[in-house]
Amino acid sequence: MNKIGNISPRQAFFLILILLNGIFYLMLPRQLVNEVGSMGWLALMLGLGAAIAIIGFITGLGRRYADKSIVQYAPLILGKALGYPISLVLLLYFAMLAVGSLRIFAELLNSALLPETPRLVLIGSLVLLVYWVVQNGLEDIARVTEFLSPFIIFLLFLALLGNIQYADISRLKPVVFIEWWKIGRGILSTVSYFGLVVTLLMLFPFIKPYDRVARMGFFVVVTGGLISGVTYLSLLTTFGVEETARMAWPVLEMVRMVRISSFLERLDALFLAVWLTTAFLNASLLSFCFLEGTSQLLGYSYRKLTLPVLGIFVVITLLPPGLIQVLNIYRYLEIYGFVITLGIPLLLFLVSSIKKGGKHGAEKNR
Amino acid sequence: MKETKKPLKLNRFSRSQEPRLRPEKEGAKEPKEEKNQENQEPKKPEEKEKEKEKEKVNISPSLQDNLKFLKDVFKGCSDIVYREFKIGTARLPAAVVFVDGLVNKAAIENFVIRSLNLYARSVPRDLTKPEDIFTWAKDGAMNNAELKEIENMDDVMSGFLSGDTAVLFEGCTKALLIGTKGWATRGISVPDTESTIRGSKEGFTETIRINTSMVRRRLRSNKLKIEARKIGKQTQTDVSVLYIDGIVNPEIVKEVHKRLDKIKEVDSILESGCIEQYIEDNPWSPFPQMQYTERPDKVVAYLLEGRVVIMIDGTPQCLIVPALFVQFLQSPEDYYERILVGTAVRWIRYLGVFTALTLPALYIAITTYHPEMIPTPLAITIAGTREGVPFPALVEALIMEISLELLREASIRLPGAVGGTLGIVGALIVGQAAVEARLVAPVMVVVVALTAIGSFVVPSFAAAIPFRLVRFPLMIIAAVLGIYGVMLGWIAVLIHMISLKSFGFPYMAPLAPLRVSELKDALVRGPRWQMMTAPQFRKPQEAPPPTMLKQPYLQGENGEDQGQGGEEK
Repeated sequence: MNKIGNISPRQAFFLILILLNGIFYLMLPRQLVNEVGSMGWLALMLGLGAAIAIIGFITGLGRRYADKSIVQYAPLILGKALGYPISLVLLLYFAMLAVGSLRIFAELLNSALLPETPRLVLIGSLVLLVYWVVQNGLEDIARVTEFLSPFIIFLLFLALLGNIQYADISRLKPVVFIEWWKIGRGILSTVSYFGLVVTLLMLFPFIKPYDRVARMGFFVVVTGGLISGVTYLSLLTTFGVEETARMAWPVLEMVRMVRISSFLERLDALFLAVWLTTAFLNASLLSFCFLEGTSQLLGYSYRKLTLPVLGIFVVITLLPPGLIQVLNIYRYLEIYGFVITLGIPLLLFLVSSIKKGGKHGAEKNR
Repeated sequence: MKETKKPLKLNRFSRSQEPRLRPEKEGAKEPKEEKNQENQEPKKPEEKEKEKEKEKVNISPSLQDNLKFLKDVFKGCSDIVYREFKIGTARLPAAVVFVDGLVNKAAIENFVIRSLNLYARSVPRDLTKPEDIFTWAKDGAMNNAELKEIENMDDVMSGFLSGDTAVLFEGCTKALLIGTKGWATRGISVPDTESTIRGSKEGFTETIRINTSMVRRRLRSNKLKIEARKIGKQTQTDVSVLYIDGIVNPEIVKEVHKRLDKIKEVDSILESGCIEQYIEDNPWSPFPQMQYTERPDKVVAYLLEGRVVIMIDGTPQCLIVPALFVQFLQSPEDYYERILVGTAVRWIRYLGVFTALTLPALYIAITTYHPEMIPTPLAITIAGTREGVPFPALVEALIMEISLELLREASIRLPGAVGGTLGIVGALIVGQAAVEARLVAPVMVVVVALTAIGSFVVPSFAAAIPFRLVRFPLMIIAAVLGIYGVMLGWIAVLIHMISLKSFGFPYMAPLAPLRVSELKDALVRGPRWQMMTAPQFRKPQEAPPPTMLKQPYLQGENGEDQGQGGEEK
């Protein structure tokens, strides 16, 4: 079973969609409300535009360097001195996100379901599953995602639908205001958020057939953006700007309000199941990206690296003492993440366009 | 880098080469080398053995030598009959050798001995040379349907051991093998383990020939291939590989033969389960990766889907490969019943599987950790009934679940009528007594009953067992981590099931990897006429004519289609 396997564009679609509407999706609305208040829609739209551009760069690069991941073609484009550090930065970003998704999930579980269970147990047990599926290869990660995502999307849809009863359009005001600084911050964080599609830089060589990746990328960003946007609007109409900003887990709070008559009142457990699975899927995908990239960098089989790396992940995950520190760290990722998510693909794309270096290689490799 | 490049080139079928038999796994360390080694190195010893086999014992011209040889080889085998006689007026000594009980004695007496002994006396006297008599015997003297000329003692032995009769002649280095198979068999009866309301009531028997005939009777096509081979050094069991040429994906047939070739050296094949364990992809998984069935109609349906069937002599169960998980939850009835009914019944089964797998675990998790999750009145009811029960929910559940498994196992071993009684005794009386003794809560009894019923709706017994097994670890993890544990357990089961392969085909297809066009036979039971676009096992070029995908018999213009609907082809 020593293989990684290929995935179909549809599987890639689900992988990225669950990444966009996964564990980080829980953080986005609060972040947006904090930064731009009721004008988050603009930030979301611009972020969406940036994400589509990123997809464009990634698929452009992917076509030039088919069968190669960023770790392999970055040195070809920028030279070894610049290429390796850049891929390293990207890999660290993946690792950071993987660790982040685990920790955010543990915090969520601690606050909502299992207040007394030590985080080590929560994270450790989840990481064991991550270890298992990552060992099985990308193909299996993709299949598990593909299997679970319809349920996840369906439940999210139900939650949004169930919340319509509380909606109050007047809470959306003011729809337009001009405070450039705030709006700029909001845009940065949405660019970082949608920039999660940079995982495609790692996944591209595994997606077959590759000519459908661009379309898939476009759809996934639009779908993910739509879900995030609707959630954001739904939160605002339910809670209003001020209340949302004060909540630790606004999305979870919103879901808690969903009830079916007076009988089923606590549907949040169902949604914790959703975020458990998304946390697992996100952590698996991001760990895979990190591990595969590292193994390409070092020339080892990533299966040997998995156990130690995931062990280190668990340790790092446990480092911040509380939720506030986690949120602070995450804020940095949100603000400066765009340097990585937008900057790296853009830089590589521009340089390779100027050099036109990979053109011949691409034809040969196919 | 090499690591990543290599798998990129693999297509779906080259993946199917990856699963291995255990013996081979030890030898092959590196997957890259595997392919080369497979073709070259491991074959060398095999070839040598084949050469050895070729040095077979020749038939001696002396009849007595031959008989002596056979009697030496079969020393202590009292069921072997040697009958010597003289042919016709030439008085040429000859002998028949057969195994008592395996043959149709009347056929031997009437068509072999009587022909050679009695009728031969009317043959002209000039037929005296042994060779001439042999030719005469072969060409016309015996009126049996099957007759074969053989040239060495090994064929003689394997021939009469499988129920044929060997005829040896003095002065001849050849012998005749006459088809006289005729042992006592069980009649064709209703397959107990796979009963259906609608559809054929025939089940396979223990004789492979009868079984293949039942398939052939339903599938009168020259495309149906039945490839025979023998497996088992000691048992020499007849094994047939069935498939429909032109529909089946030849890669699957090749893979089946490849895997069967690898187990030539095993001692015995007593049941389909023996072969199954040798050649399945992951023997350590609780989930079956091949389906077994006793129903000829099921076999034909799967053959038409492009699968390969392995039939084994001596067992009514035959194996269907490759198997997908969803097919274990399907019953032939689904296809015979109405579309909506078939679909609804499938969903009931999915619900049953879910119940059987997780209901006790959920009960434990909710009563132990999260009583707030269920509606308050229900939570109060449950808490009220648990009042006075001395055990934690896990122990309570384990007591009941284990006694359920005990009952189930016991009722299988008991004869039919008594088994039913035991079920009533167990379920009603023990359950009631346990509740009254306040050992378990009444809700627990309900949960256990639902679990049991849930696992009974799975049409395949083999597929119900893993859920019964996996339930216990789930219960334990639910007791440790609550609902979070149950979810972890689910994900773990899912990861495992998704990683499984059956002859290289992903086990969870068409759900994961998602194949939308095949969901019509998984999530729902689509209309018959849409089932024409056949599943992944078919050869890609085998596309049905587009008109078949509608309801051809309802279109009216082509009156000749009426009634037949093109189902058979």
